[in-house]
Amino acid sequence: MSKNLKIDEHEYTSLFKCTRCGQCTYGREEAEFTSLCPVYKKGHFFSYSAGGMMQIARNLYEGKIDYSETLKDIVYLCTTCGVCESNCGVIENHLDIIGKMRRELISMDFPESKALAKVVEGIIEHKNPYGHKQENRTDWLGDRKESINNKKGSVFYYTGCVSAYDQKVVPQSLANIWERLGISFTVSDEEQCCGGPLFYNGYEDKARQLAKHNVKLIEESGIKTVVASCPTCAMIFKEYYPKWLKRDLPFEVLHSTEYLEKLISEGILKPGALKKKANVIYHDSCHLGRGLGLFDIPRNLLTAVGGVEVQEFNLCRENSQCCGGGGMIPMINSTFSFDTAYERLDQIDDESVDTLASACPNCRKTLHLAVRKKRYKLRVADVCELISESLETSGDS
Amino acid sequence: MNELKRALFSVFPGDRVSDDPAILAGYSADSATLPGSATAPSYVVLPRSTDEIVHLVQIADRARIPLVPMSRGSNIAGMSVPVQGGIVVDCRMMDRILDVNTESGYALIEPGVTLHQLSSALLKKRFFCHLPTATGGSSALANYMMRPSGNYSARWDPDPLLSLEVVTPGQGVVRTGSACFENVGWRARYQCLPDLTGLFANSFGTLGVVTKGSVKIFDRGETDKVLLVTFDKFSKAAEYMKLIVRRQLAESVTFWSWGWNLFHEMTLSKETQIPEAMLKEDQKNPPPGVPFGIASARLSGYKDVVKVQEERCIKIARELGGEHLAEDEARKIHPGCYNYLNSYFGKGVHIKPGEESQIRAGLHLSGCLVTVEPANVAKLEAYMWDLAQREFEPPYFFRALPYNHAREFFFAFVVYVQGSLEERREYLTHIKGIYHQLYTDLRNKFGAVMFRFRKYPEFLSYTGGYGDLLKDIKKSVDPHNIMNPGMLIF
Repeated sequence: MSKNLKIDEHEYTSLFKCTRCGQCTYGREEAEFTSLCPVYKKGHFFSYSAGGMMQIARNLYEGKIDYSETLKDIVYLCTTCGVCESNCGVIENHLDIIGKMRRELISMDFPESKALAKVVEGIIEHKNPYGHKQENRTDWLGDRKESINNKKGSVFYYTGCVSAYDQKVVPQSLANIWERLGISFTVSDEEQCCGGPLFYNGYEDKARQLAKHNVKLIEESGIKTVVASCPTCAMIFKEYYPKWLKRDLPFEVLHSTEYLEKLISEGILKPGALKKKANVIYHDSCHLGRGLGLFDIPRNLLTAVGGVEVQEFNLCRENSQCCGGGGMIPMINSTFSFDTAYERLDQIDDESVDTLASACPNCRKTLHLAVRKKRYKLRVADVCELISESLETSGDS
Repeated sequence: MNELKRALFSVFPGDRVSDDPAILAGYSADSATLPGSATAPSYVVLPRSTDEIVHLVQIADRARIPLVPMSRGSNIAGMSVPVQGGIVVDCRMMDRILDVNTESGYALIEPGVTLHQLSSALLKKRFFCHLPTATGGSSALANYMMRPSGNYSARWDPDPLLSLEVVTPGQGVVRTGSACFENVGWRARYQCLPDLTGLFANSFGTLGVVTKGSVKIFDRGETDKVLLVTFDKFSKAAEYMKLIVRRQLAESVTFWSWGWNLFHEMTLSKETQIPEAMLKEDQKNPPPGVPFGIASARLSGYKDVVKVQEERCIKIARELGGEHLAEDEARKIHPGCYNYLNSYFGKGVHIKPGEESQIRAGLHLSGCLVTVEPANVAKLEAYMWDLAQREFEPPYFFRALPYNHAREFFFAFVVYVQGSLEERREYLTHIKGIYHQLYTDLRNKFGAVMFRFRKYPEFLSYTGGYGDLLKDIKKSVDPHNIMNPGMLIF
């Protein structure tokens, strides 16, 4: 069959297990049956749910439908938040199937297709989704250039594209912490995109090439601990690289929050107090939380900072709602991205909250832009930023 | 734009009606649809009110185009798949709980209200509703319309329906039960006239579109408790069930076979793979150390009364060879079961909604609910195990549970299809083929009959005048046979 979608028979037969229960859109336990899927909330028809998209894939495969503007509208709204894969009992690869539909759409004459094609080309050509120059990847280091290809580093910092080119305050905060603690770290000027954005758009083959490159780079450094600030990068390294490369990684990969907690537990890092008390609400990044299962660690870090009061969203942890920043959505449909971010911001019902913390540079970026556009009086910060700031006020670390 | 499309777009705004193939594809299949057999409707609409549905039914009747009602869509038997095309009426946006009347003991709900939504709303008032084993995201009203599985409220009556509002092609809006009278309310199933609520129950959208209905709700009492007992024999468990419900000791009791309990254990873990033990070839016998099954009884009422009821249930269980599973022990030895059963029977919440009915990575075949003479239930269970062993290729997973005084019995198969697409198709076609013989055997050998209809074309011919009367009623209610044609008996 396989007329309009390149999936194998195994993937095809997995599609007809869908019972249309709608669980792919819902949260768990206390948030059961609250719709979390941003796409479904937008479209209302069942077809906008991941289950509906699986039925669409089934019809594409059977040659019963073709790609169309509506199909593009549905598939290009997916933020890869992973609520579907996290909650569905029978299909485990929604995002993979959605990615394959996205890839087929890329060559078509839709504005989103063109925008996405540019992103994909950017990654293939320049190794980052923005099309920026490779030589600028380490600009965020400022006068810390000695960390580039540093042979004495005990930690390999995989910066990630969002941190390296956009949310520079995130890696800079982590570098401040390392500097304060006297920990030597290494950054590679040959680092390339982790491949996540390619994978989520059906280009697993191309993503695998990036994986090979990055792993070789780290392997050659001889460093056994890799730290990533971006949950997507960390997740792609941990969950997908071993599958794509068909081998275990010869190093340990930690998200920055995991790493910092380790330093605290070893007595190396002792967060101080913020100069001004902060009422902080924590937003679980989709890929850090549902993806890597890291819920407590970022919260533990926040509570370790003096002067921080931690609040929770009603929809938190496994039931956290996407900020709208995933799936390259800000680059292909900024209106939808902003709407999703506004919805998340509107879920802050405690007026005393003055800081929105996340542990993801992409969430930070998306929520920060939304806050600025709405002119809300709310600071958006990464957990590392708050820890770094707390060290400035403490006598020792 | 053709006349039909123009008419539909005059009733529904553009974001609630679609003829776009991509949108329609989402409605073309459920897990009962064989590979290559998806059938999309021509339109799908998302109504918000009875008025919109009245217009819709008139339009469809005029155009002689099929209407396929769908409440939330969750189904494993193709009940709301538009096999003859037409218009799917997706009622998910009609999701209001219109009234919770604790005085009369009913809730008035729309078809899009989920079981979880209703259960949660009632919990706040210390009431509960009948909770079948369907997923929490399923429509409460649609499940109740299909004679729900489970016996959450067996002590009173497992049938939760009272009055309905239905839009039919022949008569327009019809209200049944006490609601047929102006200003009387929704509290009763029937009064001085024949029971028309029952006519629409189990009609699967073939007689009209249900737009609201009142359903029974129950006081949770001063306290409630879930009592767990393990049994090593199905027949003893069935006896226990009969006795404790008949003697008014429990309001409900269900017996969960070992495979299902192993699955409940999975709900607490992140494990996605079914444990090998659960799929072992010999499904008749549990792995060593695992009880054959666990009976979960729900007791509620005044604290002192519940205490006595619990003691009596345990005594009866022991006399029949059962072992009481104390709370601490259950929490320790069977944490997943404890958690699941307490959540389900205590709070009225499926902790991992849907998973229990979509055992991971398998294909859940149409289950069957039958009524049976309690004396035959053990023989029926043995027959089902044999059938599974004879017809299914390992790995497969069979589960059976009796409830409602052991007068009702639910069984379902999950198969793990392997091999090439062609082999899978052949296997699935073979499996579908066994159902016909199965239904015949159930009736002839055990006096058991489905109480939720599965596709069985000759079924009506066994019912004598009953079937003829139904056909006459159908002609009157839906003269042009636009309501879910190809489904059920019409």
